[in-house]
Amino acid sequence: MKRQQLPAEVEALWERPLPADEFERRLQESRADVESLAESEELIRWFSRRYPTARERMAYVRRKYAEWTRAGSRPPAQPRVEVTEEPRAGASAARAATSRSS
Amino acid sequence: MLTDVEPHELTEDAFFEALAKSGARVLLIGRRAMVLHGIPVLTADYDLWVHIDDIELLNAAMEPLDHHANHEPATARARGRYVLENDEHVDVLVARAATTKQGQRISFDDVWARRERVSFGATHVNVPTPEDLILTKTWAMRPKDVADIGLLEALIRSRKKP
Repeated sequence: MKRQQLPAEVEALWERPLPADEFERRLQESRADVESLAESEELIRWFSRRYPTARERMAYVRRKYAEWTRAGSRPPAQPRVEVTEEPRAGASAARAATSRSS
Repeated sequence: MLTDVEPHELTEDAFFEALAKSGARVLLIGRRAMVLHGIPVLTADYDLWVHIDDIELLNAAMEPLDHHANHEPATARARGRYVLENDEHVDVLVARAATTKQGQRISFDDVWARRERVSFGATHVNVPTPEDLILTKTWAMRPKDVADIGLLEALIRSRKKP
């Protein structure tokens, strides 16, 4: 499978382990983001209804990942990740990691 | 007809069938497990957690699929992880238990006992419960784990609603 190569600074922001207290702080912050919580639940409800079987869900992810690698570094239908801005923890980062098919 | 089947679909079916028939106690973890639960996240990799006694069974099941371990079982046990690779990159965690940085111990046997069996075509895949997946996401404590925990918690809330 062709793998998406993120810019090194983006990869570091996403993959670099956090200190325990910072990790916990970001978790609590994400849990307090009521709007993002509701969006995440709606996203999951849509995905589960639209792709009710495991095979369909995996096929969706393969398709979207292939679109992403063909398009370059920007995920489909997602805002550009601003390298200079530290991504918000929790749902905003979650939104950046997911996509919705049309 | 075979011409109607995309090669990667056949490969994924074969992969999960091999896991199911291997006799190994092996869990699909990571973002692929989240997808099976109903969370749309992108990933290129497969992550497995295998019982420390079942490495040989898992490796033997992957050989016919031309996926090979990058370490001998003894080395894999000492290292705590290894990779099965060819077309796919499969990270395999080998540990009787793992402890989060906050000191919470998660044993394979407990997670295995609570596992969910997800139907996948003619076969099935064993995955941790969403609650146990959250625990695994606290091992590395990366920003992506914060995001994934948020989504898993959303899934748990969704399941509780009519």
